[in-house]
Amino acid sequence: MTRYGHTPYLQAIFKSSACIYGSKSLTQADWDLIEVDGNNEVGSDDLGIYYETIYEQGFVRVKVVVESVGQLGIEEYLKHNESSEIFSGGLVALGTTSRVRRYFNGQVDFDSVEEILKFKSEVTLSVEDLMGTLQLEPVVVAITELIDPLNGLSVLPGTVLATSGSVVLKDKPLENKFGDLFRYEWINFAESEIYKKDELFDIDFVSVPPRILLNKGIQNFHFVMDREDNERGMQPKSVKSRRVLDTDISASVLHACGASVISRIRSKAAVMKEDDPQADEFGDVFDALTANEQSFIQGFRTLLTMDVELENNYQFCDQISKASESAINEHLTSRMLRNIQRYVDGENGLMDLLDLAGFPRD
Amino acid sequence: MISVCKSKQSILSAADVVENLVGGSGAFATDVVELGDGKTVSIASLDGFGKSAIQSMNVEDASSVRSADIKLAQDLHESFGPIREHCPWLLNAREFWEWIAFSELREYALARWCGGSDWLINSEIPRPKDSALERFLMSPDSVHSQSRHVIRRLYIYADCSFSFDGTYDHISTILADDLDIPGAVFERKLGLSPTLAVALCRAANKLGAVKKTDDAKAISARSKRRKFFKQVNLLVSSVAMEFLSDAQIDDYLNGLVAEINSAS
Repeated sequence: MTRYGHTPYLQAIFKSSACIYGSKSLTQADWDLIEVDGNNEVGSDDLGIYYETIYEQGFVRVKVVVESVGQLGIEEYLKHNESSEIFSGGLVALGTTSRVRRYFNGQVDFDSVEEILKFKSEVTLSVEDLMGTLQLEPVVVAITELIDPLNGLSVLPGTVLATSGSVVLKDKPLENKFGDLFRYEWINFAESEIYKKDELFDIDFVSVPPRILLNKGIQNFHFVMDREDNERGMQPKSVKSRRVLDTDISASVLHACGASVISRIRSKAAVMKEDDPQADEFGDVFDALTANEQSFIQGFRTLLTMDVELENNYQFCDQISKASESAINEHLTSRMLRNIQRYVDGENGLMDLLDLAGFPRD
Repeated sequence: MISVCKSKQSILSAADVVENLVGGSGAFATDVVELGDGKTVSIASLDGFGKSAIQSMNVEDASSVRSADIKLAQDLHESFGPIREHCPWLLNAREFWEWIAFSELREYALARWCGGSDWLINSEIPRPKDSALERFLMSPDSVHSQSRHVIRRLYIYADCSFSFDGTYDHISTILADDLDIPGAVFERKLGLSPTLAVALCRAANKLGAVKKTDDAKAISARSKRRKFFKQVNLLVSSVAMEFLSDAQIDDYLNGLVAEINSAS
């Protein structure tokens, strides 16, 4: 079997500095530095910038400039190969929403004084084209077939020799705090054709942000809702008196959301299996979920997970998809329920619910 | 002026799809898309394209389905030119594709993926599989969902060909005899690069099935294809395919194909 890009070969992760500039003109070079959270260094971690930050300042173009700091870590290749023109540096752009996958050429130069390789690459983007998540990964690739300093084997053209953390342009995610994640609405279910009048609440995961609909028609659900004077601005009774009820509701809402998300993951996986009975990897289901569902998993994965704390959301979707029906049923009624109960038994559940329902804390 | 029809309720599952299909095209209320600057944009009616595709398509005959899909893909791409120019973001809006699938090209979508629409009015006819019904849904962030959508898949194939060299010549390479190939390419991030996608389709089409002989067992094209895409995934884990020229990509992929074909 031919091994394209044999492994292991000399690879490195280099430190770089990323600066993001904005321009209010489509043609003139009047670039303003856009401040990002933290510093501008990227190494093994990514540097994220939200579109909101760009929109708010009225920029119509964005320029991303990435430069290496110190050596790249692949200088040894120069000693084992005759030419110095063996590297190409650039940014690999990947965006699933905007459907982009391309290479933006940059430069890699050898600094003979410091005896290190220096990387610089930049890309200019129109704000109008920015959608979803766009990842810009700095890479150094082999231009020609190279001799690997580690073992003398050859490395094929195109092989990624060095990489740095990506610059990620994205929409601001929903906060992972319960009260911030959802918008709440009180409605009387008896007056709606969609809901049963005795249901306590319903969850609408589709609207942005997702909504929790609380049934105004249930007596004593929040008795304050029955008080006419509350609508005129009177304060509700002491929060503590509602503690037990609130905690139970908080747990119920979390559990219903978790069950709904798990059901959606399994339904998507079932469709994949129906289409390809040999399918055995379901991590991609995460990408097929709505932004709200993804946010919920991101925020509460530790409560929803079945046995171990998984590394990422893709592994979570894979695990949930592969679990048997009985294991899921047991999980929903046992472990997940206990996790949620523990969570809401702390102050978090109560406080989040109070935020959710818009009540002042006492 | 473009009018995009939005569903009255959220469409998330196969059951929601059925509910909206049962309601007919009228289940969609019309909302005008705001372009933000007061401008409007016009596109040709898509209804005629759908009818023409249905007329030329016999679902029992894969070749006629393929031809109808190829033509419709090109028609859609040409028709959406003004959208690409004035409001490209619209091509990623869930509501836009819902409108196309449930309203403008509803009959084509039903004929192509659900065996027609009789099951909607005759309960004795079994409902199509969920995997077919979920093709009416589209999540903007998921390449898997984008490329499985009843209509958007065709647009993606045409756009890939057009982005590759400004022609529609490669739609027939993408939509070749083995329809599992565009699925394997476009349902993954491999399909985001037109150069890589066209090269992958060209190479994968060279993986023929092997008939059983006295000395060797049969090997289906599907099992060879699986092997090919596993190798491709290994390759892209260490090689930046985006960096390579068309010829280099072809060279690497043809090497894999030759190896798999010779091993069988």
